[in-house]
Amino acid sequence: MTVRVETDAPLAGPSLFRRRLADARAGLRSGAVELLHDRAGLFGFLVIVILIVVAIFAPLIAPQDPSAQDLLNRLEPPFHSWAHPLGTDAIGRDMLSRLIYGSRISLEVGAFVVAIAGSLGTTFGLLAGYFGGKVDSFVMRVVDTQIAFPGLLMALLIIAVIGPSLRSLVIVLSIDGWMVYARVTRGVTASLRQEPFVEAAELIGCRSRRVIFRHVLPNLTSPVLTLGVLEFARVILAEAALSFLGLGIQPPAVSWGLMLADGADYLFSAWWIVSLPGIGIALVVLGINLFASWLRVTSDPHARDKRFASGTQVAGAVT
Amino acid sequence: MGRFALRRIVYGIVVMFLVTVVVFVTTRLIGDPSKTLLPLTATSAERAHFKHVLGLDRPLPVQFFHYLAGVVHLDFGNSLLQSRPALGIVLERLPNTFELVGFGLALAVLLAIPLGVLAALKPGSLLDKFTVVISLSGLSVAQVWLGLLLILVFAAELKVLPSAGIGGFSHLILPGVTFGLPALGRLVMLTRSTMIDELNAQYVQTARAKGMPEWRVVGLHALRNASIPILTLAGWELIRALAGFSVVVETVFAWPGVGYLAFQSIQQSDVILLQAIVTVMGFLIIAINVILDVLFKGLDRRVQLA
Amino acid sequence: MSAADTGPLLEVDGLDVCFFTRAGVVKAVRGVSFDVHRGETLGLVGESGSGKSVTSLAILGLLQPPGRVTGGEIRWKGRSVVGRGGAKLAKRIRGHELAVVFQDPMTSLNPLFTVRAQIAEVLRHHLGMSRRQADERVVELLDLVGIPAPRARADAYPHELSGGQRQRVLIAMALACEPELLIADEPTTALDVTIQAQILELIAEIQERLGLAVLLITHDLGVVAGVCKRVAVMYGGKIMEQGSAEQIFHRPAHPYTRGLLRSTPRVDVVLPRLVGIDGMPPDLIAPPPGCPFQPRCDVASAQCAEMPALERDEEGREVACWHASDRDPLRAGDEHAPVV
Repeated sequence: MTVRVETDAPLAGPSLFRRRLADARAGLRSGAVELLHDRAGLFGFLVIVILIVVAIFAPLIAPQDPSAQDLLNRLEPPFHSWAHPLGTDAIGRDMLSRLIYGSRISLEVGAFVVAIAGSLGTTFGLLAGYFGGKVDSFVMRVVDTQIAFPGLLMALLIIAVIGPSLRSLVIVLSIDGWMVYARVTRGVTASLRQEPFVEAAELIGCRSRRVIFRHVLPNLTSPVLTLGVLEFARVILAEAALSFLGLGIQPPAVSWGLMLADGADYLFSAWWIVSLPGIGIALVVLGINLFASWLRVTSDPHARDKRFASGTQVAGAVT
Repeated sequence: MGRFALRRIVYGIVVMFLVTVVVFVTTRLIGDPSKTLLPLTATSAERAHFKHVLGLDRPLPVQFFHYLAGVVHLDFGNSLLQSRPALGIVLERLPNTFELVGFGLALAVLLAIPLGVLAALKPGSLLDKFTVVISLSGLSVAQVWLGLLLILVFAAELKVLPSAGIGGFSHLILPGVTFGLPALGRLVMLTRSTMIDELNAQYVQTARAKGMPEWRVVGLHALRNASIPILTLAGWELIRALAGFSVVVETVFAWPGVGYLAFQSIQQSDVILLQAIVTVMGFLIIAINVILDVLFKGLDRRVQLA
Repeated sequence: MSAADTGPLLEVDGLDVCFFTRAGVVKAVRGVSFDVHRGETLGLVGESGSGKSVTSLAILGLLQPPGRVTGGEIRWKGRSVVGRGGAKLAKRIRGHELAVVFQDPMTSLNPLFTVRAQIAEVLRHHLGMSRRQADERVVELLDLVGIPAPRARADAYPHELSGGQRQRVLIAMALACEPELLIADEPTTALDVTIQAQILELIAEIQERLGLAVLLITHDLGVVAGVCKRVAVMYGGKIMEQGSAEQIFHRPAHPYTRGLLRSTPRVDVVLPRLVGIDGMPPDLIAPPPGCPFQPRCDVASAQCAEMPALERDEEGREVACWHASDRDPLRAGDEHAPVV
């Protein structure tokens, strides 16, 4: 059977760019439509958007200064007054304002760590997967070796030695976090390497850099993006844990982890001091996880079809 | 198989050496422990004494040699506060951590497999959605908060379980659940997605085409294949716990394990004890990794572990 | 003899199968009908997307969402195997009276179980054999399909066998309970040519020896020629022509069949270029009304907008075409006529 090939599609040039842009817009539109249908994914997306908005506009939104002590009204339960809608803590600081400002730290730490660990890890993974051979062995050896280290204990040790601060927190979490990006990126790159279109590009003489940027990188955006979103959630949890132990954010800065630590002493008498940040963390992390699942299913055409055919939208698997 | 095991063991020993080096470098070079670990009011004499006790005033290679020699003889020095061998203290607390982690993980695995399989059988159904939401919620909560919440509900309000410390089984429940819940969430999600993939595999269609009853197709054919990644994750969770992720749970419940010990040693600036903890746990993790690798090679004959 | 004994083993009657996908409803099988009698060999031929594999899955009751039987009937020895009640019957006969060998031997076997375990499973489940009995039978079966050193091979794992050997194992597994009908769905497509020939010979030999019926599904005319006495040609979810192998190969009546035969590459004649059939396969989400082959047919007319029924002629052959040729052999001057 003879097959006709579409010869009117441009292969290069500005019209190609315009077509790519149109494709991207169409992709985003259909993605948006699917997101609206998937309640779980939509919830997650909204949570992330709200978090970003609240964090950026914190000074405008927060009713009070998070460090301002209103000792007359200390340990006030939530929903008791308009001045402190979510109550106050042991030294009279407004819970709502502290929650809002705390989101800033979460966002900051998360963004930094994902950016640093992500770029480091992706770069190494890309090099390992693309060039293979000795480069691959070496990078993977390093990754495996570091994974064998007791991660959190090492983090504790390092922070104990260099002193706790936002910077040490970011450093430690980045050191602990780059390996997973490297592994994932290497896997994807290595399998892409085998694809005929990459081989073809190399055969016609494209230099490595061009092949990487033009052909490999675009295919990496989806898995790396999904991974980044998930890692963001993990960093929020890690910050909470470390700040609780006194090794993360230090006062007078506000973080949800610190709020948990403060509240632990008043667990029985003022349950809200602990629960409000706890619920906040849970909601944010859950939202991120739901969004990440949706993202993963949407970027994988097979899973997308299956989801449609089974008649319902459900958050895919998060591993 | 024997050669593989041998290679793994040798590799493990090399990594143990690296751990020792890194711990050493961290405590000596990255910061000055005498500055960060002693209160600001410490006099220079006190700092000098501190340094001398830690051997920080000797040239670096000499320090390292002594340190390494010590490690090989399993002598990590004496804890600064308790004035007895650090290793002994760590080993005393280790069984408690194993108890906590073992209970939590066992609970997680035993619940995760049936839940994950049931969810995978009917993706998109109400049961599936419910399972997914519960699992995602489980792995989304901060362990700190979960632990405190459970204490509040079960110890303070309902008064049915103790809030802290070690003791009988009733002491184990709350910390065990706190530790196990996020692991359960992760395991369920993995079981579910792996089972969905396996149930779509060609060999499952063959099994059905042979007329095998569905329970056999799912429980024997698909699950056996799925168990490999699931057990891998379970092993990974175990290692994570030993890598320090039991610290938070132990601290919240004042559970006398290695994690809580690490926390205490930081609070009390007991560098020697901290070094010992990190190194010992590092060795333990490496050893477990080697065992798991060898075990999995046996489980899946197709796996080509480099 | 009861009706169950004299009638056809398998009756497919007006079968419709649809797939409900994101892009639309794909009508994969539209009104397909054919029978397979005891000991008969039927070849179901069609290109990818013609609906042939879907038909076999429907027969076995193995259709998974998003696919569903939306119309028609499938009967085994007179009893329906569609619908809820039918599904129970389907489950009973699968692997027992009705067996199947699928296309991809590399992934069709469970990688974690030995060959012995996988074959014995069938024997013990359907025939209630003990472990010892089953083990013996496994060795017999492996020998039957031509696996050397069967006793030793039985303890091998699938990844230790070659593609051809795995396919033999799958055939042995299908034959374990002495089925009355064996469906072979593209059994040789994933194998290389020399192995293909061996497997086909094996199937033909077993068919003769055991007298079982075979439904051979393939896109490859050459595969059909050696094994099947009757052939049905599918296109666009419908059956275009059905008849004996002799009729189909030497005096094809439907334009599509003629086109297929014409485009078979020849070894004995040097042609300036390969002959093909112009056009593309139909879009099954919005299939054209009438004959699906119309857009590509060189003798199509306005009449073809209405689907012709399968007309049976004196020789027992069925053709669905308004312009079925005069049942002449491909014209003598037609140097493209293949020698079959």
